[in-house]
Amino acid sequence: MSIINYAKREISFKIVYYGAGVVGKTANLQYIHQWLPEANRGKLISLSTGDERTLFFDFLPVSAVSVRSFTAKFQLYTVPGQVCYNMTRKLVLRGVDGIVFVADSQWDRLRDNVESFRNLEENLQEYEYNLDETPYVIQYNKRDLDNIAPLQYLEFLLNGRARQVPSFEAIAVGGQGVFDTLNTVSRMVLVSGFAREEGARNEHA
Amino acid sequence: MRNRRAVSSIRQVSGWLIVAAGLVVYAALVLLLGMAHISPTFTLPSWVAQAVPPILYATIVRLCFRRASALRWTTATLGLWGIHVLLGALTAIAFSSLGPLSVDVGTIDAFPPPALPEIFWVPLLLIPFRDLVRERASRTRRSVAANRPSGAAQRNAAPTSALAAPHGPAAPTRPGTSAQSRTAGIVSAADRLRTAGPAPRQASPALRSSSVQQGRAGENHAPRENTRGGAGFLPRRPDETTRRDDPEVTLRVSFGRVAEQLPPGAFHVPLDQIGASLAEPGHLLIPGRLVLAQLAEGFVRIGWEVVAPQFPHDLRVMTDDEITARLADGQLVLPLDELVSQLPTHLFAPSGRTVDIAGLESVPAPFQPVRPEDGAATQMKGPGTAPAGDVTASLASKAGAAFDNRARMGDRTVEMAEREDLVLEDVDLDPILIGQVDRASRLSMDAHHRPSRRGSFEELAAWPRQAWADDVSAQPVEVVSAVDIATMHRILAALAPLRTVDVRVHPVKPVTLFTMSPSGLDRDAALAAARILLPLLTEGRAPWPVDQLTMRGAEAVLILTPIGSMRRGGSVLLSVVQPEGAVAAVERLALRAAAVKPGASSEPPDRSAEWQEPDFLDSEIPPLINQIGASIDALGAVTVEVLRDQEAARDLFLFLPEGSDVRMTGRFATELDRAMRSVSESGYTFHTAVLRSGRRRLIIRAECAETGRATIVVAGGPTERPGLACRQVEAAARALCER
Repeated sequence: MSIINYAKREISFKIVYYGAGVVGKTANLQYIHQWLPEANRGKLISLSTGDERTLFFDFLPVSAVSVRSFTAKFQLYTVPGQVCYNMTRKLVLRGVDGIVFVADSQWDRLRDNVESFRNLEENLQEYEYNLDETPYVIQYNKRDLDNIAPLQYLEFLLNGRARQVPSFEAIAVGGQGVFDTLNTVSRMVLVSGFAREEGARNEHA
Repeated sequence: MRNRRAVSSIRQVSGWLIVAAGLVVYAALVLLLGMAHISPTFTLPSWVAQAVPPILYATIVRLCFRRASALRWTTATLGLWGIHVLLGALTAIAFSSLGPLSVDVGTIDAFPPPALPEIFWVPLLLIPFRDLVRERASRTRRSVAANRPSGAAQRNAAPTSALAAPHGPAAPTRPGTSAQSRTAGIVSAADRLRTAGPAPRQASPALRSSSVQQGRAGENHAPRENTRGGAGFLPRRPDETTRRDDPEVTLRVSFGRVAEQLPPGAFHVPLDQIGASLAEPGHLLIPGRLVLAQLAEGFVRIGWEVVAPQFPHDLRVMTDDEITARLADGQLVLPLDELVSQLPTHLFAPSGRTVDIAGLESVPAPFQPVRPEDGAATQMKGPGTAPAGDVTASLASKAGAAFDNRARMGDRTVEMAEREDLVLEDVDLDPILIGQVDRASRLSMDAHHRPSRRGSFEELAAWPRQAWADDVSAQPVEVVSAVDIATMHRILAALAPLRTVDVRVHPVKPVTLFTMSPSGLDRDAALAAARILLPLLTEGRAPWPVDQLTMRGAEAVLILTPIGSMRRGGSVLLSVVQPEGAVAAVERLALRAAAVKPGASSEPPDRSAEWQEPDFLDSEIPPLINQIGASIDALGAVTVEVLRDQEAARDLFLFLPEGSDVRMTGRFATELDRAMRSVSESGYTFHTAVLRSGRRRLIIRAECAETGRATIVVAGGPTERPGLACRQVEAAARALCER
């Protein structure tokens, strides 16, 4: 998905906020939209299905500071978390460059988190993507609530793969951890993108 | 992403080049053997010569793919053997056509057989096909893991090992706290990551203290450099870390947290007395091995037979089978938090590989948020940035000085209103248009309302101090109490994601009504509707404690969320949303504003009050109604009741969990239906009411009044899928209307 425009010195990436329903994916984007300088962000567009359980399908284009003489642009998406909208999630994942898996820290949502994580992997496999080769981070959201699981158990549940990824505590509605998450996944995407580009150049040479 | 995808070995050219090169070598070898007339002649039985290749191939496949399933191993072996035979036959045909070479390739009773060269080439095919064998092996493991905890199979599954006692000194601390030592070396890595970019804005200290557990502020938000290396597709199971010779450990869960799952009427005595008569009073004892086997799933269930012996037999009314049949999914869900807190922390301790973040240091943090101190105009970006605790404390210290309070917060809200980007755009687009989103209609959430200085806290507060000094005497305003102001700020903070600042306060005895609505919706009509609906909530008429009442209509959706006890003059937040808008998000945020915890319903219904009950008659239940009831499975197991409202000449179809107070629910439904009809005169028409009570939903829908066969459909029960439940009730109502 990453697109490099050498003429304009721009590089574009797609980052998807994935997770179960009502875990705070949209809250992340809304906070980012609220606090990024106007020059660095576009319009936040929320797509709803019109169904009873409102399902966000959000899109926020943002541009970052210049990186290696390129202007890095990112398209931030969220997916509808509800189980019945898997087709939409698959569509959103197409061409993804980086993923933020947002997990709800509450005890009663842990099962949803695990199922959503498996669903993420399955959907990636539909496109023959491999999660172990995809830049992604995990965000444990809603850490301000009372009935939350301890971090160690959350890590055990969601970050126990052979490949360990950075993870963050967050309170998305208040902004805690939101930009740390975004910056880290963006850096991972950039590093991966530039590494790919260099590899392609070397192969071409 | 394309160039990052895992390229299957079957698509790799290099593998096929090796195969092609091997084929050339094979052909050359056979040709040379033929031309040299080398034909070993030591004779063996033909069946031996035939058996050697498959045995050899089976050995090679097993050695190369040790984790391949038996099926894949067999398939691969047979595949290679088949190619071996085919190649041998083709070779024989090819050489027989060459005539002069007269290579005797058809002889199979000699060893080595003439087809011996195939043995050297055929295994090369494993190179391009290796992923087929290997991936299948991993898929099999994943499938096993994915199905690990579910259903009866899990109930009956024998655990692989017993629970280990904590190694070394017992670790009674919460699992989260021991992360300190684990992440001691991680902060530095996190710091490295953070050096290139400014630290994001921090939440209020109160917020931080609650979110960062037990002094972990130093590592908060920092990417934790994990040091665990799970080997499998899914998180490592804790029982894999235990020793087989460890003794069985029993875990305890509070009976009170499980009791409500037991079917009503299962015992002679009330459940609290049952709890006291358990083998361990007040607690159920659970074998640790059953818990461990499910820990990686995020929830733990057990069968009734696991705990049945702990219940006194003489107190039981139902048999074990009857109780099992009446449990949701035939199992009891255990409180995971109690279980995890009893487990040794080393079960979750990380080990293994670390996160490689070295490359990230070369890239600066791409995004730098605007920080509060960057300028006065951005000091108060929105209501969500207000530290609610701070405001409340300030108000308390200035009780009685309402004017000062308004003026102080007015400074903030003026800045808030100056922002132009407080907009939530709500666009209905086909998801297929991903990436092609262009210009779309937008819905402004009224960030720039004009102060009218009446009724609205925001307007009162936004009025500049000097203007107050000039105008306050000339144009008196309603006095807003300090408590209401504190509540207002709590609401504003909770609704921050919606960017709405247009929240108003209306005293509606006996409660205070806070309204939030976007522009384009008739606030007065919503207010009128709320006045009609409020008595249903304030007088405890609902059969269940009310966390929230959502009224859905074609023009608008009203969400009534009680804040505090309504019977003691509490508050209610009235949110008005467009039907196609973000209803669920507003519901969630309103609950957050009301500080309602999921599953913790607030005020119980007032069963002592005497209400005028409609003249209900029990009706027979036709088979069709039972079928319709069975279709509403999103609400769990429901029983069907049909009541005839003589006075209104209509039927009530109730699909409720067993043990529900059917008549009280029916009475509430008829009152709600009556209220909905009254509301329609105020401007809004509603067709469905959804009452949220913890995990339960009560959905009430009036149908087919125009056909003369008026019905009210009432369905309720615990659900994880409220949206699906609504659709099922809607379909049931249609079916009942068309019957």
